[in-house]
Amino acid sequence: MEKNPKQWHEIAELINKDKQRALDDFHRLEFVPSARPRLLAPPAPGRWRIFRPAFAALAASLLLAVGLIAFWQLRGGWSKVPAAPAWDEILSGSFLYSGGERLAAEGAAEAPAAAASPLFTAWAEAGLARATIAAGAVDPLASVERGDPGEVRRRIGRVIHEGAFERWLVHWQEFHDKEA
Amino acid sequence: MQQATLILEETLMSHPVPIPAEADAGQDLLAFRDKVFCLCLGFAGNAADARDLAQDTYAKALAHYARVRPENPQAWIMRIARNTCLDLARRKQTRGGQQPVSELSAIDWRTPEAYAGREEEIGIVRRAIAGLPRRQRDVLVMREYGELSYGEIAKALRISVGTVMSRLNRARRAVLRHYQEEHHGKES
Repeated sequence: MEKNPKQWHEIAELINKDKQRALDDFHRLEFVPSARPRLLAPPAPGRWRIFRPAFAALAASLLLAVGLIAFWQLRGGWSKVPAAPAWDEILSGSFLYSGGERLAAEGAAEAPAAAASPLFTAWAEAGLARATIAAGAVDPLASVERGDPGEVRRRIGRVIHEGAFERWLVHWQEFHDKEA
Repeated sequence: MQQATLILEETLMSHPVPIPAEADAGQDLLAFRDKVFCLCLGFAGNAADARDLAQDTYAKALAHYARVRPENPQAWIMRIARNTCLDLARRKQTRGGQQPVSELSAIDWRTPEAYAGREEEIGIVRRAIAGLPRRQRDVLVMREYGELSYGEIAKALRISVGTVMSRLNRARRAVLRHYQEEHHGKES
């Protein structure tokens, strides 16, 4: 900038001319500074101060306290509050809840078995086998309702593991191709 | 009742009356009216908008003067003027795109400058200023149009004097470059 002060002087002169012309126009009319009429001003934010977070939190706390006191006065104490139903009662009809409960019970039953001694396991299995023979074998063709659900699960698991469904599907695919 | 309120509002709208409590403050601030107007001219680029902006600036300033009681009223009102100008520019941009620079630089042909043949050069300078980055334009307009000192600009913009000087230097260089390019381009 210092290299061309003369050139900037020229521009400053133009700016001054621009200002002077505009100021002449400006002075031609009276300029009365006035505040905006108060009535036209938007509603003061103070009106909504009640909705500020601190006030809202305080109001909520007061309402809770009043509610608790009223409840105490009406009931005469917490001991008379009827006990809430147990979770088991509420969720007894739920399939997921009962399934989860069963799985948890199975997990709890299986966990110590895994940690048991192999000799003890062999001895227990032999004892169980003898007891089963004595009680009579479970009919494998019996319906699920009357059969052993554990055995049904094991069988389904075995079928899935051996890929029986895939083989069955391949078989039907070949059959279909032959027919076509 | 509602009708009466509406009539009162319309009356106040058409004839804004200075509020007595603010009249003294208005007199204090009135000393800076030319500077405020020129600053608005520098930002707006035309006298009509600059007048409206100066009016808005004073309306805002008077509404808050009693509560704020600024230490430096000049720097304070200049900052309000600058913010008012930037608000208007932002609103115009949001409403219908940026106002073309040629419109910003429109100059009344009835003015003496028009007859003196300087209107085109003034238009080039206005366009150059309008094209500056906002920070540089703030400083240049405050210095050249508002005629504020470096210290006053620093106070108004809440920056250091050194920053004011460096921004002003860059702004002047940019305006000069633009002016030379356009001016010589037209001459050749």
